[in-house]
Amino acid sequence: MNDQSYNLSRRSFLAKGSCGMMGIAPIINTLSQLQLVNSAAASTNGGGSVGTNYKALVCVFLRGGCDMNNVLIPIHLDASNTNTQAAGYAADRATIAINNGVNAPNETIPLTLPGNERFGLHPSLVNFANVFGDGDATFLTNVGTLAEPTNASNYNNVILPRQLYSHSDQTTEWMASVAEGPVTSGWGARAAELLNDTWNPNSEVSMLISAAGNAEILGGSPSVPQVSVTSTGAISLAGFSNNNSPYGQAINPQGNYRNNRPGRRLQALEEMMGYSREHILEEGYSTVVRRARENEALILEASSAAAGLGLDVDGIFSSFNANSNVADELKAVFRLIAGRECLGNTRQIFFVDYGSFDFHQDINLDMAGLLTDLDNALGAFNSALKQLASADVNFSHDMVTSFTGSDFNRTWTPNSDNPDTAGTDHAWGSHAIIMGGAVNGSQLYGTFPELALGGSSDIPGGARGRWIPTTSVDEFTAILANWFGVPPGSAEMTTILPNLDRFPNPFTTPDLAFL
Amino acid sequence: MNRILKAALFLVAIVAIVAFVIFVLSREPESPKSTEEIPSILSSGPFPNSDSTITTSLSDPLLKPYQPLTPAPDNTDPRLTRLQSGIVLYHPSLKTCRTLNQEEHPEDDLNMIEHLLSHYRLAFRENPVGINQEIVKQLQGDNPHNVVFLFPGEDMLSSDGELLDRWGSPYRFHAVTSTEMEIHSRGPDGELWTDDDLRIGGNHY
Repeated sequence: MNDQSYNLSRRSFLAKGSCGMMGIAPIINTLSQLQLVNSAAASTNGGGSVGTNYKALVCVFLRGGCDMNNVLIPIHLDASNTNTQAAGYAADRATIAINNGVNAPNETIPLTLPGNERFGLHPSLVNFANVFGDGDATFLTNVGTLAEPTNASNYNNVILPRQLYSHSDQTTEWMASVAEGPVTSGWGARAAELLNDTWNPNSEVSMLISAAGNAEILGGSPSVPQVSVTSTGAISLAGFSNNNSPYGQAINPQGNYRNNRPGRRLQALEEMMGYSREHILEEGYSTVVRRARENEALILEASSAAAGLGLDVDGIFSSFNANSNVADELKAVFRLIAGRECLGNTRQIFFVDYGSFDFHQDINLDMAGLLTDLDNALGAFNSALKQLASADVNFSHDMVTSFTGSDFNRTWTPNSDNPDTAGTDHAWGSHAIIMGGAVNGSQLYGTFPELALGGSSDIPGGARGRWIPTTSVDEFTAILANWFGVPPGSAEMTTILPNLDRFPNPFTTPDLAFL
Repeated sequence: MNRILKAALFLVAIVAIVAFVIFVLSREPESPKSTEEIPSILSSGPFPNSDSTITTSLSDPLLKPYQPLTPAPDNTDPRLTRLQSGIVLYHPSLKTCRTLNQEEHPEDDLNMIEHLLSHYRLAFRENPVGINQEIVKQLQGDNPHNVVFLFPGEDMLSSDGELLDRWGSPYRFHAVTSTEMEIHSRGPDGELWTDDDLRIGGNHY
């Protein structure tokens, strides 16, 4: 018997909790029980509170620093279809280069782009190439952490991001969108802290949901804590989820308490958790347990909504061979988007991750597999959203925007001449993927770097090729936040992105009009 | 009344327990690390990262804890010598550098480099950043206080300014966090990613 056996439906939870209250609870507890019931009932009856006013951001973080130099590649198809940087790519990347038509027939997937741009995708990105071609995806090129506008000329005279090239620090800076000094909150959390009440007056579950454990981008909001879910839905309280746990046999498949000892124990426990406590610590404990069980019920209910719409979510993902961790996480996110009415949020930020892409060695051996997993997952997620738009009149494909981030890009040159073991090391400016119906796709944004050691994009004196970002994470984030509903120039935007005014106005920069 | 008294006693007990826990948690650890102090000359300016933890590698038998330092004006700190050029020599690092690449066991070389990095962290609360030659520059005084932590012998640096291992290959530095650095020697064969490589720190990312 799997965990599905214990899916306590929201209605059952409420019904049982209410019965327990009437049978056992003293009068002093009635108020709190009623509050619980009213709160949950509002959610259950809240269909339509989200309606067509819905937007979700999905952050797909590529852990370890993905080598985007081998994802978006300058190519040479023939004399009239060539990228002037294609030869440099083949020469400098040498043992780790994907054949781009210079020294061997092109193995990349050529993109159809405006003008004379000639780029190809890593051969693993078959599905993403289709998404890009359909206009549902783009790249923001050479984006990275910046404390202030930086280039090769002023490099030695500006504030640089703190601890460039350090995994943990650069990850934090990406997710906080603050590149200098310690920060205690992610930009998603700051947005939620400021605007959750405005965006989500009928919220039943946090607007910050991670399918990959605690996420820094979602962390730090005092009033909107992030909620973690698993690839199969809600995370059960310890002891509630499997047969060997104290309450593992407590609930039957219909969501009712079993008439056995675990069933009676769980029923009693949940009734006790509903009581008001005079002691603040006891009350706090009860609240945490109660909220966790509420979230579990809500998320399980939301996760099952897709089936009610006739969508075979597992089938969609299977058709893309999307069976990796990141695929499972995106599948969980998709289910929550399909069941958004249960959650009651008109704005939702999700987080998933994948990796490690930290290929200091064996990049030729290992990176293609990870990119295939990512490609299948993104392809399946985009397809599922399109199918949801067909099945749900209140949903449209342009309500969800996904974007990637990563610790950093990797060095232009490999660290070894041996193709069997070579890898790349930590670098800086990278390319971010943006995907969704609202994306102005099929073209590239930002300023593509000069791919040359000692070139205009390389840090001065650099020996390995580490591109100075031409677009800051702050600017990138500002476009996403604005699409999400944060007005340009507002006090909220300033709080969410405190260093944004150091950079050119992203909202009037054509190179950043990807949404 | 009795109930109120009980509640008051209970409250007092809770407060006492919380105060005790706070006291225990706030006590300085009684390890050699507690005796380390940042030389006063180095604390005159703002640190780039004020919340980082100072970490050192005191567990290695080669590395002895710093001696307690009595707060003193800059020019009387016995660990420091300020040259007229503005460069500040840090003597514990000088002592370490004298035997770099000369100990019996090659593994000790990596530990000594980590020790030098710990000196840097003592001053700046984080590691130097970048690739080999950039880290070398910062250890050689290209840092906010112009403190020199690395005094390489003639054969320890490449023409590109990279710190070399005893076999003449540049070390590879891999920053995991602001205070955690993997140090990687290519070993006797001079090739990365072979069985004779030597690595410490960073859980070998």
